[in-house]
Amino acid sequence: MPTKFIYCSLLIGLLLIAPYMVHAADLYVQSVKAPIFSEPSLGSKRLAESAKGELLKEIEKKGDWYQIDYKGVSGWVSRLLVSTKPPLGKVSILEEADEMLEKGARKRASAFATAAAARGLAEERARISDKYKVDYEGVEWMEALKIADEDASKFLQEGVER
Amino acid sequence: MNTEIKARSQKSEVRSQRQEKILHLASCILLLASCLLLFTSIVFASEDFRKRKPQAKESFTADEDIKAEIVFGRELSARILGRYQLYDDKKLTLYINLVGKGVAQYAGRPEIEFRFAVLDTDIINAFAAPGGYIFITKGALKIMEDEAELSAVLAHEIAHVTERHIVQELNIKGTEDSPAAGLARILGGGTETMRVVFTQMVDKAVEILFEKGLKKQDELNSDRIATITAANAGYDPAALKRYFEKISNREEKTEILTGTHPSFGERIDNIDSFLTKNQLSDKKQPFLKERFNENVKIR
Repeated sequence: MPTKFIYCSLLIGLLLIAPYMVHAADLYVQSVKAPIFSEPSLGSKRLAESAKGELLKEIEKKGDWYQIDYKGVSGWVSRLLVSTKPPLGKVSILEEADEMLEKGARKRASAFATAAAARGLAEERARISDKYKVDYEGVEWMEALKIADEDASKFLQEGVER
Repeated sequence: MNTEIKARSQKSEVRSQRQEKILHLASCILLLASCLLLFTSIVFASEDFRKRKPQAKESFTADEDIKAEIVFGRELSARILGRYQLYDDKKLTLYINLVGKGVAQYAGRPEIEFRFAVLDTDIINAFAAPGGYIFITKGALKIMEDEAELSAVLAHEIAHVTERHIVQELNIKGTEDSPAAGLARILGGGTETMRVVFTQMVDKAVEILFEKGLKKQDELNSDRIATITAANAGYDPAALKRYFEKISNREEKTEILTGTHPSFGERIDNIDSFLTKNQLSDKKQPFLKERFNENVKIR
């Protein structure tokens, strides 16, 4: 009886601990850039800078930080900048709208209406509520300004590395 | 002889009993430790849940949920611009966008195209609408002294978008526990009722921005995230703190939201302890005062 108890306890114990022993996961960089630090602290030495979509092997999790392996180097990355799923590409409702206007095509409505239709409906919806004044031209003025990620990156580097 | 054998067998019996006891005790300890580990992990998971929830959703969110978020943000932006006019200065807007997009590269929502604009008002404030629409007032720019402060304020607004604070505050129950999915469902409803609900949601978001304010915890979290983001981008980590200190010392304060909004004193303390915890208090990184003054000429 005591031997049975011992074996059962060992088995249950091992089963409970097992998931923690195989915890390591693949992490993908979500931000355009993600610095890798020598310690779980922003003030520690910056070892490298990983780029969006790069794979980091998780070693350990500590608070808001993951200890990871990046190209054979062990370091720490902020949990805000990584995810277990690969990053998504840029999502826009504007390109689809422009494409539709150019082709003059009538596209089938998706789950919530096509992006273009949704955009067009904006003005219509606004009429439902008179509570607030709206300025869609201002929004379009904002959207018309296009800056490539590379240009923003270059501008930043020119400043902070000067 | 017999007594000797008897004594030896008694000894070995005692030894095996002792070994069994030790094994018994060890297995009990192992079982207890495993249960404890399981229990603590459950407790920590539940404690950390709110903090981790937005991050966990990031990549699971379907394309259409994000599109719904952008459409919603667009509507909200139209209302923000209905209240405060755009400050029509292309050179300044280009500069704000370069700084904003530069710092946004260190934020965790790659699918969002961030856009920045200046509002023609002297009140000191900044706003963020879901989908990446960020606004900063002329008044806020006037009291800033360098690019690091600008990057930190923009990073604070970016954090509201990446953490989906407004969408979560609206408390729309969607599929897969994602409020954005709820938004997509309302938007996709197609019926007049759904359209009215959608508009009401946008109006509620306007109230959050201009009257009620976001949750105190959301503001404090965004301050911490903004400090991380600006520091990662290479700017002075104490920039947001310096900006808040300037506002809190002013006699005519900003249009401070009442209710649950934290005081500037509380926000400064929050950043201060975060800087200390992360060994950032004495870290020297660029302020970029000259470049700021070259581009921001509203006085």
